[in-house]
Amino acid sequence: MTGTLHEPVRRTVVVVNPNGLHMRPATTFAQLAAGVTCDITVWLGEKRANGKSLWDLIGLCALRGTELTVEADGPDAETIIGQFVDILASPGDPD
Amino acid sequence: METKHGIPASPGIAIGPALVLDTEGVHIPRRTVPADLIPSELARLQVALHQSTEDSRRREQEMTTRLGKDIGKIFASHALLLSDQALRYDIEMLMKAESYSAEYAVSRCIRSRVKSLDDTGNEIAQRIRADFIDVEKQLLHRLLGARGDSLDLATENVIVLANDLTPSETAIFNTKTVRAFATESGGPTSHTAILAGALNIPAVVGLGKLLNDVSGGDTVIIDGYEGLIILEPDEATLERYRERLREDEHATDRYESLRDSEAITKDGAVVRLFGNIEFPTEAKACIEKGAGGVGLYRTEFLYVNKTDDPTEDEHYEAYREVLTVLGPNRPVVIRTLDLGADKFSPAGGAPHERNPFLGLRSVRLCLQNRTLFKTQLRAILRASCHGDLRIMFPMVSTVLELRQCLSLLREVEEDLHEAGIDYKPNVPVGTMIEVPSAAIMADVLAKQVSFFSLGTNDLVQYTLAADRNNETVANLYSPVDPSVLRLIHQVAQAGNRQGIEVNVCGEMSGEALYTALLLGLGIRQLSATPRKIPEIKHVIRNLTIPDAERVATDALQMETAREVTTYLRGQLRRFLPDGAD
Repeated sequence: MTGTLHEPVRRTVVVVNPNGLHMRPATTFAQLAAGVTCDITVWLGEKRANGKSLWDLIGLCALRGTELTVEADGPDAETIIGQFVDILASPGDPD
Repeated sequence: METKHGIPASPGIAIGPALVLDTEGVHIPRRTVPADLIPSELARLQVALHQSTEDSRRREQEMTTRLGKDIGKIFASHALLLSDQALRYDIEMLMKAESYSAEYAVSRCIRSRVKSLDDTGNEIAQRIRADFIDVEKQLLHRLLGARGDSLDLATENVIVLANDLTPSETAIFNTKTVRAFATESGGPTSHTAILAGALNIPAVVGLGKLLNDVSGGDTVIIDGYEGLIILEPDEATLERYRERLREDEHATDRYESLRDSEAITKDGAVVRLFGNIEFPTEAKACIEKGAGGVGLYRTEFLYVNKTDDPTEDEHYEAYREVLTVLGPNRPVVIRTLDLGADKFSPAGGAPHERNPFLGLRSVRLCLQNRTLFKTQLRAILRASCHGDLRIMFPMVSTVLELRQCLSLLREVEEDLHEAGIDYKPNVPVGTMIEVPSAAIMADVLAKQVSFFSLGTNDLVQYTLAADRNNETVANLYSPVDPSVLRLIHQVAQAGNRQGIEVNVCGEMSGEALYTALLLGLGIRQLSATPRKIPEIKHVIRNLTIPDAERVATDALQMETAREVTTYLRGQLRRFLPDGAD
């Protein structure tokens, strides 16, 4: 029993990258997500993507202007969620 | 056992294991495996996923060093896709639930993701689609090893089944290992079908939904005479087809021995037998089959599947190659571009037409696109230095059109002359007779050219106003309809009176059933697919001209195509008592 009582943390973000959530930012996102213990989920309306799966993320086909919700679920959710929001909110392609 | 009906595209029988090509041209040898093999399939999958992930990571490093981070990142993405746990889980579930092979499960899983992309239809989906397909191919290649690479590496004798094949795919078939092919789509005059005939392998096209019912390795029978594919044949059917296969091989051997004999009737009349070709590589087959030259060199392959029109040099090289193979003493008749209607070129930009067979095709298209036409004529004239070249214009329907073609040719000659470029002056020029108006005006046209070539396929369809690919009217289409026979007779007489050669280059000239009739109508030159030449030669060597003339006289008096066909069958049995039919 991990026995912690924390709520998942959610943040809403609008995609501003002119190319949308395309292969490169999605790759950066998935790589980062793979390295954290939290579950990371991205929602586009009802559509749900596992943040650790590149297939799922680019499968959202989120164009510029799309509103996404990032959800982090785990002990350090509050501390790490900002990095994920930054990737989605970045106007250019992250490294 | 299940029999499916399609369109016969190239005759012959083949029996063998199926090789199923999916639409992307990757060969998936088996769709399902026995349940007890699933654990080893799962292990193969794991190895392939691991190896292809490693391949991508290696490429990421190489490319980052060579071309920078941005390019490297593409392969980082691929590595992520290939190592994705959800993907692996989905593939494994499919294999366990459906007994799918690793290859097939991979393809199904990735294709379902591609399909969801296609369904969204937005611009991101279009961009990443190629990455999904690429990842699928990497995995399949890892799973299949060299077998997955391409068709020409297929080492067993296989029968290729596909939704459709492009001519270039068909062209790389190794005819030593590909025994036949069958496709879901396509028509009998598609280039793929024509090429199958030239490659001398049986083919059936237009079979409709087929690939879901057959797994790689299943035994199938292709009957290219009747246009059938038989899936999972029973033993009695197999035996029947093996017998027919033996008969076919026997017949081929018998006629092959005639290769070096002359095409001469019993009473000494010489008939010139030429080959029809589509690609330069077929020139050799003409000589191997004992053809006296190339009676029809179609040039459309230069335009089909291209994004740009071919350059003059591309034309020139294609012509020079054939002339060089045929040598100085065998004529090569080059037909100028016959595109339009069924043969659409993206580069030629043929517009949409409501009635393409009565529209802007062939020489009509050329006369309205003079730059395109002149490029081809220049290349043909330049190539004339390399052998016995002749030029032929297709689809001529009026004397005026023919005159326009001839004057354009003279213009091109003058240009070459002024530029000091070599060409052979006075190259023989001919016209095809394939429009009824041209057949009727043959006596006038004969004065303008050095030869005629009867394109019976089009002549029949235009005379009877019937498309043989339209099954509801195909019964009207017959090369021996009395109306067509009268036209052929009239053209032969007009040519002979003017002292010019009259050739027949339609499919009719390759059918033994019609040989006596054509000779009797006054034809002394036939051009057929090279494969048919030995058999036609055999028929000629068993005829006399009076025999043939009697056949023609009788046939010309008949009232229906059916009567003529029945009569010709009886006559052929008389001339060839040893039974070719």
